[in-house]
Amino acid sequence: MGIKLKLKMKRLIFGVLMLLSFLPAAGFARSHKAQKLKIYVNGEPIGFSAVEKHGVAYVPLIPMALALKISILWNPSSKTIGIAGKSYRSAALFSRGILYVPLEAVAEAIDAPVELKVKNGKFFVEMRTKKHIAKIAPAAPKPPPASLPTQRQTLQSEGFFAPKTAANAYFSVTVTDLETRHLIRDYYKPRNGDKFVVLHISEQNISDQIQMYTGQFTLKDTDGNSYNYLDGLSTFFLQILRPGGINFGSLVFEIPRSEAPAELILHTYGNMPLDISLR
Amino acid sequence: MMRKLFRNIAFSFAVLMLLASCSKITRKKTVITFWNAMKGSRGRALQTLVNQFNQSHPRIFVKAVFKGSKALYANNYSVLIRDLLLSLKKKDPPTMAQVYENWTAQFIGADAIVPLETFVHGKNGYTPKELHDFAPAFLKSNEPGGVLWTLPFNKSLYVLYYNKTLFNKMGIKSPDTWDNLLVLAQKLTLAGKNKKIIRYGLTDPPNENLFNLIFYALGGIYFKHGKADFNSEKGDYALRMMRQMASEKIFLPDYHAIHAFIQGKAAMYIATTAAFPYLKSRSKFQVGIAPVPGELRSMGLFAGTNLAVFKNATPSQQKAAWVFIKWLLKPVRSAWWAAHTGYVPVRISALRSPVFVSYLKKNPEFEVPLHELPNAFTDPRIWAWESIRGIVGQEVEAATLRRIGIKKALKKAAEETNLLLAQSPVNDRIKAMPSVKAKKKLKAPSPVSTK
Repeated sequence: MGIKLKLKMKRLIFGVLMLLSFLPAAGFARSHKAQKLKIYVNGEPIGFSAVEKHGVAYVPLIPMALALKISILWNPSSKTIGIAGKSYRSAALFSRGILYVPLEAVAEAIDAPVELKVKNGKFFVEMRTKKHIAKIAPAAPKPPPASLPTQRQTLQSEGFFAPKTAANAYFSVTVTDLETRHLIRDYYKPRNGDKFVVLHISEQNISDQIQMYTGQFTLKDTDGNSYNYLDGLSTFFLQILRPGGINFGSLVFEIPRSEAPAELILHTYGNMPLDISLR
Repeated sequence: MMRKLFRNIAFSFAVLMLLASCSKITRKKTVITFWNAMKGSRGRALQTLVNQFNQSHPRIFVKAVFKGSKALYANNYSVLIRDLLLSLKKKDPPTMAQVYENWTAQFIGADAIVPLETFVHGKNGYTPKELHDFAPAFLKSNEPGGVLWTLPFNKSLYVLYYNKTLFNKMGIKSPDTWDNLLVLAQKLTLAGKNKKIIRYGLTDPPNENLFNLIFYALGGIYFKHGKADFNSEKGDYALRMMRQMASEKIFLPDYHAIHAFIQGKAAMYIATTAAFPYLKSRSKFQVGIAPVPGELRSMGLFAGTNLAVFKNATPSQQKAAWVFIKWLLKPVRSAWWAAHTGYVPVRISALRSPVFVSYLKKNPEFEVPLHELPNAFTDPRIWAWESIRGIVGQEVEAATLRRIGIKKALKKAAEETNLLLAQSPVNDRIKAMPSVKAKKKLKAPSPVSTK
């Protein structure tokens, strides 16, 4: 059996971070190396890994919220996370449209004694609440799968796009990537003198109400010209968003080659447009 | 005394008559709006039916509103859902609309539609015999949570179109398994002197539709226990098959595949029956129809929308909408609609309707997909299905065209799908597909042999 230690919350976080520091590195985001941890809730894996960046352990927001049956909302404008009615000032991570929040904030919100255990030479932590237990155990590191360089990667090598986020009281929109393409789906070409601009976005309902209409996106170039996205070529489909719900996909715009994208604008009904600067 | 009594009765009668005539004059028509995405010949066919209804129902006026766009790369159904969601936000939705099953899941979650079950089992509803006349698979896809929320309208089945003239000339038959399809695709592929392909065996968009068809044929289930299950042996097999066919140049990945087929650039093409009128009218060769090949599962994947009535409509509008829906889905109308659009009748008795019998006489090949109706099933009906389709489609395309590895593509699509699944209300995670009835054992994945 393992060693059982009763610890306070901050000691748990310290333990997890120490554990992370001994784990082999695994690929996470393109721009940095990070550690991966499997997450277990009530003994069941939730299907997403926690990640570590700059000494902070992050957990995926929605799966954790659903597993712990608590509400977790992130407000990017104030950089706060609302957990179970309490607000915590903290950064968040976006990767492939998935929003990660610091484990520390989640653990503090649960406000319960914890146990650090060792079993068969492996560390794991049990977080006990009145109703739920979350187990966090290290995942076996996997080598990144080998693949041919993608069209997207080739284009990205031209320049790095730092994700951009903006929010109002209802929606948080993050542009995770921006690409310029001259061919979509290996088939569709822009008209003469034009180019395709592809924005990879995620949109989250950060209000506490269901949002029927999540808005229409337009792109503004540096000269102030406005463009609608080509819905037949885009993979972002409108859907009703429940509180905390996220939708993501790509938006394809066709703009003159001489122009550069400057702003993505979300037009919702009854609210001021939400501008996301792309510069 | 008698005279006075008679006079009073006569006076009362006259007042009643006057009131009755007044009410006739002041009674307004109930106007209902029907938002749809039917364009071109389908739009004209729908308007013909709407006109017939309006002429025969003086107290109701149906206003059919086409929601679509003439913009380049426009997707009419995207316009329809966008406008529906905006109208719900404005609390001014139409009375009724065409909706996909996954839209229904969202509308139920947002308390935006009324269950048609109320009307179906109401005073002017269906008899059990009439209800059982709907194709069971279509009806089942309209019953999330066991409640009949919507009714099927424009339904089509995925089929394999083939160049029958060419097949007859080469003395070959349509394939009944994917293995046979690969062999046939090799035989049918024709290269020129410079090895440039003159004719491909198969053409289709290299996206989630073809992947799903192969995956379903292998007995694949998209989601298990609330998680993506296509990142599996069957998913790997399906995607590998697409990639190999493309690599060996027996498959033309083409987003305008319908035109490639019509122009004779490919001998086979997979799409729904809704494409049949267009293919038949444009092709210079005889177009054959065969069921999509199955492996473990008999294939009858269907697509198309259903009819929903919105909660914001007044009770009289909802009632009028029900009158229209019941009229529109009568077997004779269902048969007429199918014969003019390429959709399949949603009522079983419509198959025996004179108008449809006459249509089948002129188009005997259309009878083939109808045999798949008993095995028909549809895509998952969950809230986020549209977005999941987009994610899977993007990765399938990338892997088919060798921009990304197969395992990486499936893993990425599954991870992103799981995130969206986490937001789908549990009660909407209803398995739309029947359990697999094994036809034969799945063969081990084998690469297509080189020519």
